[in-house]
Amino acid sequence: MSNWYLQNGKDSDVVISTRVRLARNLEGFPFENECNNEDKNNILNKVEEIVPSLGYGLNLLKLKNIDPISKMSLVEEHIISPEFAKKDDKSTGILLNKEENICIMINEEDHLRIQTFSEGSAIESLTNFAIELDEKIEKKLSYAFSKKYGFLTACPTNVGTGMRISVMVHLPALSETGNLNKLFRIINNFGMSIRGVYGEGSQSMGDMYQISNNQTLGINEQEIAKNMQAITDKVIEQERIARKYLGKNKLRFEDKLYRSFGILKNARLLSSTECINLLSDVKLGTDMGIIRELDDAKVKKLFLYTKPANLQKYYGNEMTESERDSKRTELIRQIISN
Amino acid sequence: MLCQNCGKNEANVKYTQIINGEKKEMILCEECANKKEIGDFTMSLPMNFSNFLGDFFDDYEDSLSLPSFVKQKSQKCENCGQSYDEFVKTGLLGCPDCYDAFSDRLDQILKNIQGHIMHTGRKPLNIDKKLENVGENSSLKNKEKNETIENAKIKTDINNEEDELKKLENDLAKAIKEERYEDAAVIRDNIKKLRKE
Ligand SMILES: [Zn+2]
Ligand SMILES: [Zn+2]
Repeated sequence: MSNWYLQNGKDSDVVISTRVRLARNLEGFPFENECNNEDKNNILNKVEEIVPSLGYGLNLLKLKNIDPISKMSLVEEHIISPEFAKKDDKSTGILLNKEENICIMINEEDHLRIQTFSEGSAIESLTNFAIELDEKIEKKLSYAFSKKYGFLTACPTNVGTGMRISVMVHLPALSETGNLNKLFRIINNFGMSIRGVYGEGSQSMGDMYQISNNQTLGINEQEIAKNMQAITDKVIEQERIARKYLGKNKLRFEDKLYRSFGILKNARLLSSTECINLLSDVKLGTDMGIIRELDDAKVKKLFLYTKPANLQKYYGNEMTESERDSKRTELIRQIISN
Repeated sequence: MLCQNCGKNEANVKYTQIINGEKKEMILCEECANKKEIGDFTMSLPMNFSNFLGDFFDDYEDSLSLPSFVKQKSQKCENCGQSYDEFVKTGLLGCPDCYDAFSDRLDQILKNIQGHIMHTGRKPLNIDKKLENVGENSSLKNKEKNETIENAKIKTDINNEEDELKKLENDLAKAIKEERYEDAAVIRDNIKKLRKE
């Protein structure tokens, strides 16, 4: 298991993963929303031609050739966007390597969405890695670039550097102590946004949140990375303080976490929503050294393989929702006892 | 954008309220947001620009009636044919040329959502080479020596121009902020002249 999303990185008690994304468009074509099929095909072919020269073990996969369950599991791993997965035309594709820490989406909202991924906190190294990749591509393909506006993108919210850094964080203690709203507002004031990873609206399941930069123009790549690092460090610090505070009421806290562990271990039917919420407690307990029956690797596996598509991929067959709810608990017991 | 409650402060929090199963959204300043929180409001996600881009651009259209010096450029991008209205609807531009076609209005929007209108990040590696190529074409029959001199000249011209543009754009922003619209109009004309050169 060498895929990044099953490993543990820096500050992994709070930071689940980091992603850097560069939005790029090719010169001489309209943006994707105005492209006809021929344009999109030409773009895909142009990218296909340069794949061997890029290296990194990248392979071109056309979306239409990926089966629905595998496609959805890529969405669950946050490697492709849900909107992109829904695109059904013939000329959408991804460049993916074996470790899946590079994924370039072709014909998304922009012609190219270059993405690099890492477990844990890895803002600076991933930024450099994305730029390294970008430089290899721009030697072969001409980007739409303006001296004034920088890299041109379909939506002006991405123009300039085209760079968006996203950090996924687990904030159960800030949530439990009622400090999330305060944190949200501070992050907003720094020109960043934060949103729940699972679920819609203010209801976020499993206390998983994603922090991203808003500004892409009039700021350079290093400055974006530096600001993101500063905010992430602050969030890590605050979450750890809140955890310490919760830990003071030891018995009550341990009881809560172990109850969740008990349900997770013994339930015979679990929906993915309930499962994520239980896992949030179990991860917190493991990270704080309270639940000793599990280790980080097992927690990562539990998070991944209990998601609907990954569960089906693991067992190799399609299942109905109620079948999944039952199989999910089987797999949980298997991972825990292994 | 101003707070929809007090109308005084800059709004930066998005609130969602559900009344009889109907969702109502409000954009509030921090102060009002804090007050509302104690009441019957529940906080939804912070502002995510791409989610309600449409609203944002529409609002900008309204306030655009203010500075009358903004010359209404062609309504459509000549390259892809997309109109500015379509952009407001979808939040997406049609092609790279749209940025030039709608630059006046885009600058206003960018100032709001990005805080800046000039790129300061990295450039593609081959961009300077491209400029050199332009130089070569215009002096095709010149000897090598002349070419390099000319290239050097082109480059410094571009740099000076860039600095000048930056300065003018700062002046413009300042003039608009201080509501000196006549000054702003003059500066804007100068910027246009410089860009055409
Ligand atoms: Zn207010
Ligand atoms: Zn256009």
